[in-house]
Amino acid sequence: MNQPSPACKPAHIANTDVEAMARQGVARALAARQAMMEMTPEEAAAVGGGLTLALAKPIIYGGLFTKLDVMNLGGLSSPIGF
Amino acid sequence: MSGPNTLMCPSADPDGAGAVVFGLIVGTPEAPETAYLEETQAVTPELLALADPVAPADMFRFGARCLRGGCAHWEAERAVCRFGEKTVRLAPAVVTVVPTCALRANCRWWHQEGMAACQRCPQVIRTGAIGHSEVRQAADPRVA
Ligand code: SF4
Repeated sequence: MNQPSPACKPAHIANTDVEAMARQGVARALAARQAMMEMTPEEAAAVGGGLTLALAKPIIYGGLFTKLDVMNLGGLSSPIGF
Repeated sequence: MSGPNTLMCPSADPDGAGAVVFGLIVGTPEAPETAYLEETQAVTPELLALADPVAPADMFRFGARCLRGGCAHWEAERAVCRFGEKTVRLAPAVVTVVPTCALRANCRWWHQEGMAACQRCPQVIRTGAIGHSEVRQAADPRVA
């Protein structure tokens, strides 16, 4: 069942707090990135659902400028950032 | 009311056309979530520098002009964003009330999927660093 608990409320932030919150968030983002890099291809495939390719870097969601049929799927050289 | 050609992708990168920031990613590495801004904010070098040394999309949610046929997620026959559609189908709702979202008036997913997209949107992290496996599936254009 895809129902969240009633306590699940979305988070909001004042624009004036963005800078301070972003500075605090760098550690979280680094840890997430690091964990992704440390995954084996099998682990990456497991969290990626149907993904079977070796993820050297995370998939970028949305705004995929390149059609998959012309992507280099082996190395995932595009459209990967970072 | 925005026309279909002026809608914004809620999972864009800062280089997208007309890009704005509408959220900051908070939470934990294992369970990231979006904190929605009161107002969209311009993408400036100063703002992008706040993410250093990670990618800006690891830290912020960006909205930018929907590329429609220029994006692998676009299905021209039905004129739908399949990423938004699959997020609703595959990912769990993570909030019971929709976020107060500054992108909503122009958001492709809202216009296409309504409240169901907004109940899942907080967990969508563009770069997918850890994040949620269901969203990863939704984001893979090869997954039907
Ligand atoms: S899906 Fe909903 S919450 Fe997410 S960006 Fe669009 S309008 Fe905002």
